[in-house]
Amino acid sequence: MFLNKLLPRHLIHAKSLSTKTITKSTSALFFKPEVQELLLKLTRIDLSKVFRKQKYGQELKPPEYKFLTTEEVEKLKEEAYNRAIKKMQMPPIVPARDDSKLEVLSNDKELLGHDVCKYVFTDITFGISDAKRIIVVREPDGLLREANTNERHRMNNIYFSRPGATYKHPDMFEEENLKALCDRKEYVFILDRAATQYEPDDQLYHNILNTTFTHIHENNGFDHLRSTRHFGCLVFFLANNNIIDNLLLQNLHCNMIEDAVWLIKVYQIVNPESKCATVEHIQGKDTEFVQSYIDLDSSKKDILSHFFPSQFLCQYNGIFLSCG
Amino acid sequence: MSFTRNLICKLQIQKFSQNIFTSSIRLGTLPHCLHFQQTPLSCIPPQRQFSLSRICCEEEGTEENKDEKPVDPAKDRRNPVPVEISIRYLASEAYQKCYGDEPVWKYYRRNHKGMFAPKKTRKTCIRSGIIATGNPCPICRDEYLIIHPYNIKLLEQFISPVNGEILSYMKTGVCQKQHLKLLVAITQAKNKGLITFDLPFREYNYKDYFPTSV
Repeated sequence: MFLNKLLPRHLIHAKSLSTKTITKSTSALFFKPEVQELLLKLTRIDLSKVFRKQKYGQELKPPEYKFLTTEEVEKLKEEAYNRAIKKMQMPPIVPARDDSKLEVLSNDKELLGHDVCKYVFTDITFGISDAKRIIVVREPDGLLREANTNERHRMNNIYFSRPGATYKHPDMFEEENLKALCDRKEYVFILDRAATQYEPDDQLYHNILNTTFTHIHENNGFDHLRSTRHFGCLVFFLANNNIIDNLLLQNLHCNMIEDAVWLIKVYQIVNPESKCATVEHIQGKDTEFVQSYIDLDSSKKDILSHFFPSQFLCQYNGIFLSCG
Repeated sequence: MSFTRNLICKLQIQKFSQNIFTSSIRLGTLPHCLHFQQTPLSCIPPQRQFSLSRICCEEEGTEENKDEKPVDPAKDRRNPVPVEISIRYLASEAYQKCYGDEPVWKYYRRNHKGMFAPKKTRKTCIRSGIIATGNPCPICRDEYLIIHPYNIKLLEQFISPVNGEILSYMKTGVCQKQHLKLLVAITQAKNKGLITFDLPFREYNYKDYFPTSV
């Protein structure tokens, strides 16, 4: 085993973005059923986008045609929607694994110098997930410890390789290549590949997410992610870092006041100490709820409040305001 | 008696070797002269003969190159075009005029006898830098088409727009050498993120990551 090889430096020490690290408590918030529900609603599932033709190099089957009654069609539509919801499962947001604090299982000094290389022991029992599999390393000096992230990735890839994941780290996640991809607006591709390549608790995965989401936020590329499984993660990232204003502005621009309300609700749950956290949403008073957020917490008050009154009027006069 | 014979023999060899330097005698003709004299071959150091003959052959070889006919510039591939030029060519008007919007292999037809084409295409179209066939494959025939991970416009023509697989040489007619280059270049381009593709869906079990969640 060549486990002594270290990861390329630039991958680990990707430029430290001024984003909050995910802690256990934020991760717990993400898994809350109400947050999951809100994030799913915000995703705005578009069936034509979810079930678009995927190109894995597979053999294609001809479509099936059926005669159905209206009831049966409705039933099938519902089934399709349920399948779409399953496809919208968000990659979990969990705290990054800390490789500097590996659990030491035993330190047998008698074994000192038993070999020149490390021994890795992997539990390959059927039915254990990659995240929970027990992998330990015996160092040449007799130390028996938990395997670190890189060792876990390599062992899991050797014994239970995932389709689409590679043993080596793809070059596209290097800083310059990643930036080029972001500039080309290939956000979905980056996020999909990162999700298949890495475990959600990998530090590299967190770095990639931070870079991509920051780029999306700065360039207002929210529409690229809408109706994909990553939109919920994006919203959670924005709420966690207190930068939901751009998305809110876009929602208001496009007359999606409902989405704005859900977004602020997520923000309230993620930031319970914020000023607007105590404001309760009353049904039918969406605009006031959004207004209260803008007044209390928004950092772009002037832009939002300048825009908001006209939006308010338009909605009540029934005039369709064009986007942008 | 044997001494004089040896002496004569050595003189013969010296004379012969001088002849070799001056005239271009082939290796195959060497033993005939010696056989005629009926001298014991054991006393002749064989290395000397071979070394001399090698010099002769080399001299001959260089002479042959000089005599070679000039290569048709249309078939000369000894100085390949750099990739940057190839990339510019694919975006140029000349390319558009030549191929239009179709992929480069679209109107290429393989030459073969009988009704069915052989399963594999030819091993290579270019031998020692010169096109060695009358019907070179779609990549070899155009010297401005260079396979390289950064030449994305060319690589994408060999990826199926229907299901994203790399097209077979049976369909494109590319020779085996260029097809291997294509596979390598496409893999490198995908690794660098220059070509995007769809990834299989990964399903997470939330219980693994947060035990209390449903």
